[in-house]
Amino acid sequence: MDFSPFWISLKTAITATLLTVFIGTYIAYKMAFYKGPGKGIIDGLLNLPLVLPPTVVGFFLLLIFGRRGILGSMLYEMGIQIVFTWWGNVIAASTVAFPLMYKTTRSAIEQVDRSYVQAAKTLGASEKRIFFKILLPLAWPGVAAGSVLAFARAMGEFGATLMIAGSIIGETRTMPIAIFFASESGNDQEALIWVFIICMLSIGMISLMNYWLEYSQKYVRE
Amino acid sequence: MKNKKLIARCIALFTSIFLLMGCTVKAEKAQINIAVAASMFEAMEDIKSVYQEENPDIDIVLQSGSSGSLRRQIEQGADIDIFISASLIHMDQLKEEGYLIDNQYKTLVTNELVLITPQDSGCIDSIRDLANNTSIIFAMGEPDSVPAGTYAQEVLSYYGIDQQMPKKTVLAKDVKEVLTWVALGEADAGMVYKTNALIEKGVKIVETADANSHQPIFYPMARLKTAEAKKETLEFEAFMLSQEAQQIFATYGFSEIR
Repeated sequence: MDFSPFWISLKTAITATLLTVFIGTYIAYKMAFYKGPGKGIIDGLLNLPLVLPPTVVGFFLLLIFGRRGILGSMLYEMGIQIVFTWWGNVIAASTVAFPLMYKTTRSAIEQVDRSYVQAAKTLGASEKRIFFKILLPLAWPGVAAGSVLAFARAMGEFGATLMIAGSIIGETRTMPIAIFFASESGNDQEALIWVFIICMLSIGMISLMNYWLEYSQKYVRE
Repeated sequence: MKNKKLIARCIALFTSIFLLMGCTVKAEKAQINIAVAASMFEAMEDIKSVYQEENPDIDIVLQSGSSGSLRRQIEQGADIDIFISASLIHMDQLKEEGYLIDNQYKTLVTNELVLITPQDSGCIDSIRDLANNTSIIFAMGEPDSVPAGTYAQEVLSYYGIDQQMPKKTVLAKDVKEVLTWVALGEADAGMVYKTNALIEKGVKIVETADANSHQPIFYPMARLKTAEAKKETLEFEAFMLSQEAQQIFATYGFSEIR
């Protein structure tokens, strides 16, 4: 049995989680304080990947990052190809994981008592300082929960990935895709092995993250 | 007070009438559940509307997917009366497992395999071209689960180019995905059924694979044991083999069995 799907899944999920954690937290922070027009619509757009079927997300990603896509055509001229490469996996996983990170983090930031922020402002703290010293520590449980959810979603991503990254053995075939094709071709034993591995890995990674978060929350509280 | 009682009675009356209406409709309309291979879905929708027009008391419910996953759903106990597969393999498997009425199936139509490219691209003109061009991306179904992929694999080895292909091949979970990739220009070429290629406007057919290059592409149809008591399925089966239905299939690019 070829074990490349294991490494590809792990690599993709970790990269995608890191990407979503940074981008998701940043946008959640911006949106929590955004007062301009169309807040509801922007929020809806940001949540779209959660609502749409994964294949539709994959189709949109193809239209954006494809060789003839809006962004893809520019990247292609620069010699960068996204579709049918590992970067396709990362983009698909990040896109579907993003709303989970964004939603949880945003509500956590919104629940932070605004009087702390206002007090910090009267004392002359910069925006950056307020974010790192007040908002982020107080919203930490939400950020943490968001990243665990994002990781889980990135790990299990299937529909959009298959659409934009395809299933190239040793390059873009992740564990969920390996499970799908093994089960489709009647190879139940191989499918079961992968199911077992993905369960173990997910439980392991999520409990590891939980330990770390508990530890870091203790640190924040003190 | 009296008014309230009256309203309550009216509501009760209307509700029971409504429920009774539900009963009669259900008793009148027989439902036929058909699982059809994705490559035949559009043709079946046509057939469905023609048949329902002639037989207004029959309700046909279509379900489509790759033949492999449909077989799997049937094995898991899905409520399907008629199964139309795009390959004999999955049908034979169901037959061995004893899902078919009288242990038999009928061959409905045949199909052909074609090489397609994006509408506006000219870098590949034939199947042999696939081997010469090193920087192309070729799309086909996963050979182990998608029948079109199995046939495509046979075609590639018949033309003697299967050794050069793996590095530039992307495998799709069904034929529709191959079509999307080629139509959007993500893949430079792909191999699908002739019937699929005719429907998708973004692609053009550059070559039809030699009929000897792959096993004949039969679409077998069978009634499943769950439909034993439904005699409507028998009539529908007869209709599918009739001249009228075969003509509809022909407009979609399927060929009759000779």
